[in-house]
Amino acid sequence: MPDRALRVYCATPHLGHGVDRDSLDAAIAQRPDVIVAQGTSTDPGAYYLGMGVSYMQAVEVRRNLEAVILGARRAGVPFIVSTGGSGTRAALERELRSIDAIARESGATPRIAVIHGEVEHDWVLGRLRAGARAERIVDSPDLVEVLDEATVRGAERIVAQMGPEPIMAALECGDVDGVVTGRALDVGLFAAVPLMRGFPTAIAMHFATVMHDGALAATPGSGSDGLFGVLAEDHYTVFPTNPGRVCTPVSVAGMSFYERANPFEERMPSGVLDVSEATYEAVDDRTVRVSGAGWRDTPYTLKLEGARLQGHRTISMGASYEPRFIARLDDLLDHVRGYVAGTYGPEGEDTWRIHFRVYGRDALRGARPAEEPPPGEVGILIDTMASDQELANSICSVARSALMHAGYDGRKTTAGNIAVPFSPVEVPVGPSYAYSIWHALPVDDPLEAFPTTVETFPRS
Amino acid sequence: MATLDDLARVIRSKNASPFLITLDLFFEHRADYERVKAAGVLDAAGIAARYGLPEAAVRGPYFVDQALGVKISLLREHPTHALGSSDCYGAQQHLPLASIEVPDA
Repeated sequence: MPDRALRVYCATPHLGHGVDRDSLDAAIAQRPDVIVAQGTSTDPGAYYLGMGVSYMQAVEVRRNLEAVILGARRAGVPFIVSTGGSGTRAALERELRSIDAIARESGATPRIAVIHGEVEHDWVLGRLRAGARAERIVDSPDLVEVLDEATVRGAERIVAQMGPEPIMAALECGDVDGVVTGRALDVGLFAAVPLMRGFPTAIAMHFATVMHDGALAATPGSGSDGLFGVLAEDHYTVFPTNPGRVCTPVSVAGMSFYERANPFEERMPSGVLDVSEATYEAVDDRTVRVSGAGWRDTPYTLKLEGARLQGHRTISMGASYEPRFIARLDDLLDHVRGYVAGTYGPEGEDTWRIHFRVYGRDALRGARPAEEPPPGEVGILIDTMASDQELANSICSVARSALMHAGYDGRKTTAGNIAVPFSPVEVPVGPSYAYSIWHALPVDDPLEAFPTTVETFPRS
Repeated sequence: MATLDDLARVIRSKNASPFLITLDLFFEHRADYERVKAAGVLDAAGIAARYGLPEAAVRGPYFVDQALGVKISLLREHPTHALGSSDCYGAQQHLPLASIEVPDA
């Protein structure tokens, strides 16, 4: 058991969403041992992984990276961040260039361990050929049950969610001021130092689970503020350094809910965290003490995320407040679909598809009660997907035009049916990607997929 | 009789991966939480019907006494990347829950 408490500051729930400078200063005054923040996710969808880009704007991430890196330097402690949104090689490289600029402008020369999260197709194929059986993590019919070679080859890009181990190895090799990773398990970033210091896995993982979303564990919650945590022998305490927030047993216990399918158990690469017996007690009016989580080891698996190209997308938007048009809208949309098919042949997964969404009526609900009166105004999203961009543009253009000019009984607006809010009136969205890999790959060595390089920034 | 919307402090939805939607209810008062828990109105079959999903798509309900919270997770009909998906973050899928009626304790 470690001989002293470990003090951790989470600077923000997500790099790029904001670092509160006053909270950071207050955290530094609390003598943290490490400053940590996450910056990768799959929440904004498969597009970013497919394209190999971040879903965050570079300037926003850079501002927060600067706060964390220079804040850790002031505190004289290491930092650990994941960044790059989707976590691909190119997305991480963009943020590394920002770190070059931060170093150049501040005069700092940090030595940083960089751990990429994108994996080569050949490495995954090699694991499969060696007999590894990677099962899907969610039993969705959209995923093959067991990852096969065709699915791997069909993916545009694949990232692996690293656990704490590559980060621990980077810190243990010594003499680094910080660690920057691509795609990583958020919890792993926060568990790495606790595990290195010898805290039990159960408490380290539960601590990391509460810490990784920063001030979302406080009340009022915030997506752009931090959280301070102190690990002791058999428990930990958390509190916000922002005096305008507090942690309560309910706010901290609530973190077992956020974006999690099951509030009692969470699967990690090396085991399952069980918080069903955890207890949350108020230490004072803004600090909560947590203990009692359990852990069971499982064979080590890496979560792989892969995206395949599913088509190219073009959208258009139109709106109407004409009651006669709104009353006939479903018939008119059927007419439009038929009109497009008359020119381009039948709709299908491999050719073209249209999805109409009628906002203000049933775009979200899917169905509305038959007795409900028609809405006074609707927005119609024409969402088209086709095998190439030019075809998607054409389908959307023909559909938009057909909806604009479709005739119906009693029509008086004979110059056009819909108000289109912008030009270009059809917007090419670009390639569209689907998650095709969401599988747990057994590995013998948690470091195997994650080569680490140590570099001094700014790189020449 | 009251609805979940009347009783809950928070009724929210969010992605728990591109394939799952997770629904969270939090209560201000323990009495309201206990009333909902005891009423048994959050059964998988009923939730499935409200969301137009098969019963096998429903995980939970999970009652977490310490948080005065209930979680239910749903295997989405369309993952976030599907052409027919209308909610990439899954943040507006709470409404079918809100109108569930809870008998008086």
